[in-house]
Amino acid sequence: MMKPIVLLLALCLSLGAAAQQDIEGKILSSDSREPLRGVNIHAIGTDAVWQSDNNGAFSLRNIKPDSRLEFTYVGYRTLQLTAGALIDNPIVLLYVEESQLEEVQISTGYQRISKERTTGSYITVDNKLLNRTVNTDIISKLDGVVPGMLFNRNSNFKINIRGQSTLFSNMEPLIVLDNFPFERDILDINPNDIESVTVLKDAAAASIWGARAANGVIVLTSKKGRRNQPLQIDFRSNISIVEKPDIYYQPRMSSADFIDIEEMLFERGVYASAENSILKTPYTPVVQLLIAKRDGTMDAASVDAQLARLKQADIRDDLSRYVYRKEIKQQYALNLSGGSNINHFYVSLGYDQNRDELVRNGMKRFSLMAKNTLSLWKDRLEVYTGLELSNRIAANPNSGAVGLGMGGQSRLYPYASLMDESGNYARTVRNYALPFIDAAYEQGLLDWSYRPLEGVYLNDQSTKYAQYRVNTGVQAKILPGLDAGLLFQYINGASDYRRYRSVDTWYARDMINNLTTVNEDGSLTRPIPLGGILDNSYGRSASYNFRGQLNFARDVAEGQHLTAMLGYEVRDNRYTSNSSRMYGYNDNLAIGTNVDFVNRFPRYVYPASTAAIANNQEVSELIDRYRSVYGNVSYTLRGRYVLYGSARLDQSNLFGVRTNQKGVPLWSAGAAYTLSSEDFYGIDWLPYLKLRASYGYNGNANKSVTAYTTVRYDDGRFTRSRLPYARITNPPNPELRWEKVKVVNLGVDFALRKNMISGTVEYYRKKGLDLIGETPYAPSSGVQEFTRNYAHTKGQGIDVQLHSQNTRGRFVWTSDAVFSWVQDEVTHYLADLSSASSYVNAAHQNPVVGRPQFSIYSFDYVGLDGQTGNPVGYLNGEPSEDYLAILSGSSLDDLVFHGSARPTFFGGLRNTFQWNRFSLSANVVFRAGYYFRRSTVNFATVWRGTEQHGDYALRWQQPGDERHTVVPSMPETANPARDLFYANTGAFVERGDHIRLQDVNLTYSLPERLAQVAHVKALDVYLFMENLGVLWKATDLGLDPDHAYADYVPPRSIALGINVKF
Amino acid sequence: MRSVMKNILFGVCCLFLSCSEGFLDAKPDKALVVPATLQDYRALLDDSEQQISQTPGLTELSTDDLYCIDGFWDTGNLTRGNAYVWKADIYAGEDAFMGGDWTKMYAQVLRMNVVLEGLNDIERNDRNGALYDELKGESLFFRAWHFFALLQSFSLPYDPATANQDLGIILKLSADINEKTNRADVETSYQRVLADLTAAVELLPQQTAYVSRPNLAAAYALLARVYLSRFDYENAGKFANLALEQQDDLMDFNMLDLNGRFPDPFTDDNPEMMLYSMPILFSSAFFREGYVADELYADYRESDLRKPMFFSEDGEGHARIKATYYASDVFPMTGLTTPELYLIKAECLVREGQTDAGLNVLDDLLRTRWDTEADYSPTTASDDEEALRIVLTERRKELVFKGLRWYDLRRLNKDPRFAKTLTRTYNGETYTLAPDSKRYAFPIPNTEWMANPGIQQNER
Repeated sequence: MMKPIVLLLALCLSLGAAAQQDIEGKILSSDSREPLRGVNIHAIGTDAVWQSDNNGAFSLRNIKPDSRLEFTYVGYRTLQLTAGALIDNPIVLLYVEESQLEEVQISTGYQRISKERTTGSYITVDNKLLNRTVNTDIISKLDGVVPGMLFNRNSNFKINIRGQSTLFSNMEPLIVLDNFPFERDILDINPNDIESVTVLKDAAAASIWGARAANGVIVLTSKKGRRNQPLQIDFRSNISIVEKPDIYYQPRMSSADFIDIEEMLFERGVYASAENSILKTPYTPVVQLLIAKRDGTMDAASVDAQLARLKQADIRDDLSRYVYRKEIKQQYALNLSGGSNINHFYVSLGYDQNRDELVRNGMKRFSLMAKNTLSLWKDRLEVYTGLELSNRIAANPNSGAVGLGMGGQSRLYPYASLMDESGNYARTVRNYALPFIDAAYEQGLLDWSYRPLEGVYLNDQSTKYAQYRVNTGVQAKILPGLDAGLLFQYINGASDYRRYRSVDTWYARDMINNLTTVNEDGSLTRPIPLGGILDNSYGRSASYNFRGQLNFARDVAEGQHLTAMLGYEVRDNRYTSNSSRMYGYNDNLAIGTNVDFVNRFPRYVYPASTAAIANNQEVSELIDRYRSVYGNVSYTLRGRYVLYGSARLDQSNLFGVRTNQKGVPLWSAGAAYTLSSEDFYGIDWLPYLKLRASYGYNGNANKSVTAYTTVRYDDGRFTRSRLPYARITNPPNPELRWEKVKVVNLGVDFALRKNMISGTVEYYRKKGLDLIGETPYAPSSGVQEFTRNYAHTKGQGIDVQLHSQNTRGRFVWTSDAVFSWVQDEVTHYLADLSSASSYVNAAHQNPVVGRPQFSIYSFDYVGLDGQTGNPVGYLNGEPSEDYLAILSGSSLDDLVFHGSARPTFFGGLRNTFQWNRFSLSANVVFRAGYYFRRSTVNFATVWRGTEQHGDYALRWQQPGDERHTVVPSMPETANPARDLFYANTGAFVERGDHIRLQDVNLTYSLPERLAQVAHVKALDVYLFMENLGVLWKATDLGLDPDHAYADYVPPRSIALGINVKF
Repeated sequence: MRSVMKNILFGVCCLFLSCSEGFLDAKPDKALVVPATLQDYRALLDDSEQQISQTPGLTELSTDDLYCIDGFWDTGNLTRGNAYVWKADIYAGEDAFMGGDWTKMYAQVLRMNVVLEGLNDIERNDRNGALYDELKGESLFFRAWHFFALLQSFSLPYDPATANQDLGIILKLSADINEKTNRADVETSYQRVLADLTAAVELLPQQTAYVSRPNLAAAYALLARVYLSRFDYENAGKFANLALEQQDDLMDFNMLDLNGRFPDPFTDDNPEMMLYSMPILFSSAFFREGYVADELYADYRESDLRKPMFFSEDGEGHARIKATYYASDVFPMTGLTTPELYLIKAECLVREGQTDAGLNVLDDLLRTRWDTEADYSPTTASDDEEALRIVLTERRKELVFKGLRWYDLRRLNKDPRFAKTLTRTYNGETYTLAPDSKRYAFPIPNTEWMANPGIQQNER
């Protein structure tokens, strides 16, 4: 706002007196209001040059008030004004170059290009938007704010940018930090060090990244100082509190139902084999009570009383109390930045401390970043050095509710307690029946009882990560417009995993007992000595990156601008790891004991069977190498016509392929046209309009498949012969080809008058060629599934990003909307599957020509039989209960196609309200156009006494029930075909459409006056609330469609934060 | 700082190195190899743990040697219980019963084809000749081994009259996994087994360093087994003799610790062992907890040391397995041993009318099983049929839990004198398996016809 006034004043005053006089003034930075030292002041048309002093002050002697003055300062926009203007207003404000709205720069990781000259699809998330949310990692901050970018919450943190381009190959987008690909844990980056994020979506944008760009590229640009910037200190801290997870989220069978089933199975003699087992197969406490009741070792009344008590128990009460807790995350970040005439720097420190929702688990991270850029020889040479350190400790002794079952895998029986009445860790049944465990203890063996909370509270399991990154680079101006740069990056990462299980833990006692022999005189022989078991695993990674690049950028003629770049890049990533185990380990002395790994020892429970002591020594060495040549050219005519082309050749040490398959050439071309710059353009209400188009190929490397047979060697230490051996990891596939994705992108950028509404609309088409995926194979071929080129796909979509300024003035209301539509279908499928069962089964992707890659199919379904509660399907068009025949006899045509399993419409709307010093924003996101299959009870596992799905209670039990339940009756005997059939009917398919309130941010900024009192430049306090819940969903079930299979949904969280600038 | 400098230097070197061709030839994983040398193929054929030689697992659940108590199969995968009672559709919709016999054995056929095709690309010369032949012989041997086991599991028993029409197995002879083949007839399948073995005989060495590697004796022994299953007693006897000429050692059971185990096939020397193998284990508990057929257990006489060595009594007159040649557990050892050849030889001699010679061979074997404290009285028989009956009874007693019972049931059922109807009572129901039942051929798993729809399924 200052600038136009200054200019206006200058204009008025220049018409006045013209006598020479002395004029004084002061130069300040427009944003920080810091004085600027050493600004060049030049009176145009004369030789007169002045400089500002340490306080930014200057004094111009004998100057005519109508002289034009030019203020130049590195890092700031050059300003011209008339000297006379300074008489009334002696303060000169210089504007920082990067804050110029018209000159938005986009970082592709290889170059910074002006948004005006782009032809491709880029989305930039600025620092303000990044700071809106509170996260430990940077990538999560992009959720719901980038059009076309989908976080698949039902699978493991998988990000899709514009749908999935590949099936089996690397599905993650490439992440680039500053200049180089970042291939380590995203947690190694302190999110507070990131200034902005650019997402590259189409071929023109991403193909410059070559063979890894098919899934999109996310470029992270770290913060830096500016030349001639006074020292700026920025401190942020926040604390998030996440509610305790609701582990009652999924419907579970009640203990009463579970015990009723156990009693019924007991009557039928199902547990007789466990009871008589010479292997001491475990059975539950209820079965033990029933045995006691049958044998009369306990009186019936007290057994029944105990059963009645157990029927009231719910293991989730104890899990919730002792295993889960509130998650608390703390974050501190401090950074200093500044610059002098010849350098600029950025130094930051970060500390994070997360307490996980699982008791005793957590993470601590310390990070440091220090960067400096030095300009030499009158700015002809720039030398850049950067150092980053990150130290992280993740403790995870608590594995939650997983693996507590009697056999170690399944869920624990639902009436178990984890803590007994007297406050000791309660024992649950595991691996062996309790009477056997008690008898073994009598013989002198260690207590074999399993107490789940011992694992939680006594295990010692953590991983330490340490990494440093060294960057250096030189950039030299060789000729006008021509730069040459050399960049080098070295990353050293180390991980140190340690798991110590003392002899007080079940794991160690079980290992020791397992091979204990009781001698004839009653003494014990223990091949595994008394003591703890220590597992260690060390990993070390080293990554070398080298890049040499020539950049050319200049006006080659009047109105013609050419930029070009040519580069060569080499990467070498090495990873080595070794693991070891020590037995009889004493953690106080750090000593272990030798054991015999060679001979086999009889197992205590069943001495006819012998076992050797597991020797966990392992070494692995991996090397990835890449070599690339790349370049691009962009030509701009009269600032409005842009042509762009890029090409890249990647080669890598792909294994098991012919030399000519080690590389893939990729290219793209694009054009842009800023229509609104034309003289004939006369649309007043739409002052900015730009059209873009691009076309090209992205690639995707898949290092796991090979054309030749590959085998993996093993040292054979676990085999009886102990001979080293090899196994086939990849059968030969001479037809292997690279995956390629052809992308066409059409875009419109526009802005209404006064930027009332601005935004981007893009339409794209993608063609996936020779996609590689895992497909089922006839076992007689020697493999059951095989990874190969198997499908062509095509997709199209629309990405919309809109920003609107709804009100101005005291009350500012802005809206940001992102909206995406994505559609894909398989156009050619090379495998020939015949069985319908393989389509309803989600274990494989079973693409069908003309349908999305990820689809939900189900068996055609009549419903439940009113007399029997049996599910009825169709066989050859007739209602049938012959489930086996339906499973094997149905063809694809007999199946019902519901729709895509991935959202086809998604987006979000973020409204921001500013009033006085308050700012409130809320992000509402939606997903639509997709289906999911919910789980239900499996009666075959009911017959085994291990089923725990809550749908059991909803089963059909008498005629008429079919009117209000979809769950069939319990069959007379286990019938897996029936289970498989009804679970895969449409009755369990649900629409996924929903709208949720993702998060809310409320910020209060301290007024400048108060800030000055507090000796700070600015102070913001904010409140951030996340996962506020589903506002609307299509399904009537209690399930959150994004978390249909999870044990619990991400709980609500609230964060309080402060941000201070000094 | 020094190390940083060193790394920078290393990086610079890398840059220059990268221009040379070797840069991209580095192996991404040290443990990965594109097999090209004889050593690589040696390693592929040394995968002895449940891999190269393993034999069918379903057949072990379906014989009349072992039974279990009611409810035994109620808490696990249903396919096992269904195989135990010879149900028509044993897979029962357990579509993902991925580890089936069919699947695992064809995985080994692929491995053998990979080795055979790989060897074609290596020039055999004087220096590598011995190893080259050994590897080629082993892979041919194992291909025949698996084809034969597949025939015994998934095709009906050999019948000379219908062998040209009966459905055999898929004869997968190339490593190309995209090649689709349908089932050959039984005779063609047998001819392939015999051809592979005949070729292997020319190549295999007389001695191998490990019992997991087949030697010449093993090839002869397998030929004897194959010919026996197609009622060619002349050839069966001939190859049994050839095998015994290579290796005829027997273990004196008097030297064994009757409370202990058999010698470990790998770390101790079991002189009877020709080739080690074990079945695919669908249920280890079945062997540990199952009961030995009472009629079989009753057949062992008091001075027969096999009785205390093989079995332990549970105190109620029933017996469980105590020790097998597997040695580190009570699982069947389904490889090749010398006693099998003594018994083939004896059976062939008796069947060809040389009854006394046959019974003498049997006595040679049984003497080593007899308690030296008790006198061994040589076997006598009133007529040829009785002699044959004695040999076959002794065969079952000696070769128990060596993977042969199912094969013997199949072939002996063709002879009305020895045909047997199997009966089983489980969970209150009685099941039978008639001698001519089509259920002697297991159904091909669903996963096969899902991806190979042209394949003909077995009628059950």
